[in-house]
Amino acid sequence: MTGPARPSSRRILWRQGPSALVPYEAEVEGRRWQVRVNDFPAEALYTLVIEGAPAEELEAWPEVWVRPAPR
Amino acid sequence: MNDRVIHRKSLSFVCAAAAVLTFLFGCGAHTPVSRPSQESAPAAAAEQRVYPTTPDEAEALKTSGHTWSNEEIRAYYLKLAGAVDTSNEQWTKEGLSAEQRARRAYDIRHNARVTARAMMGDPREVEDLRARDREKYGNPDGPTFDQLVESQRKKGVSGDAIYEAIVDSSQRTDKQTNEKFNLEGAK
Repeated sequence: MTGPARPSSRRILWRQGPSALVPYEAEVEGRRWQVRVNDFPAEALYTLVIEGAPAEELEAWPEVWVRPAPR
Repeated sequence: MNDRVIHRKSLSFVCAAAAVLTFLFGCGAHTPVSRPSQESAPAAAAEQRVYPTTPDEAEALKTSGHTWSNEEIRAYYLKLAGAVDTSNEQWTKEGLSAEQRARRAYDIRHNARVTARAMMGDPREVEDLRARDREKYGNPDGPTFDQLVESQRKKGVSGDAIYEAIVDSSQRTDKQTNEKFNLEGAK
């Protein structure tokens, strides 16, 4: 029996976020997902934030996530 | 001693420290820590990992085909930043002022930071980091020493406590990553 899939394993199409600190966001099943950029290399590169709460620390951009075109 | 002299000395120190760390950790681009025997040479060569000590070295190594995962880069950075702790004890014994020690710690950490970022393979990730730092600090490579001093002042810290806090922040490591890579007490 396996646990629930990690959010980073889901295919997500991201749009531009509100700032360079939170450069990506998406709406997933009615919930607001955001990607925060951290103080890498002292911290993990990204944090996935769901409805304002940290959900997953990410060392790299997940392969199945699709970024918007560069600004 | 004025700030410029201190800064110049700090830069010299960073170069010397990088060479020492390279030797100690056996991970320098130019200084292997030991020579494998002829019998084990092929296996050792296959496993050998090469790490840069400057951003220019990182770019040169990338051009020649070296790659590192972000996890590996972070573990390497944490080793370098963690060495400030030992160095700070020595600087204190040598009678350096709190400001001098803070500047040295900052230089080591900053050099490790930009080197680590130069090692990264995904340009979009690097641009995300640079954009973040540009927005947060007005500088794509992170805060300046003066910004760290000002940040401590805004927290209500004063006097030498400002510089001690900067030394401490230079030693800051991520516990989870340390555990993951077994870096506690790393050689």
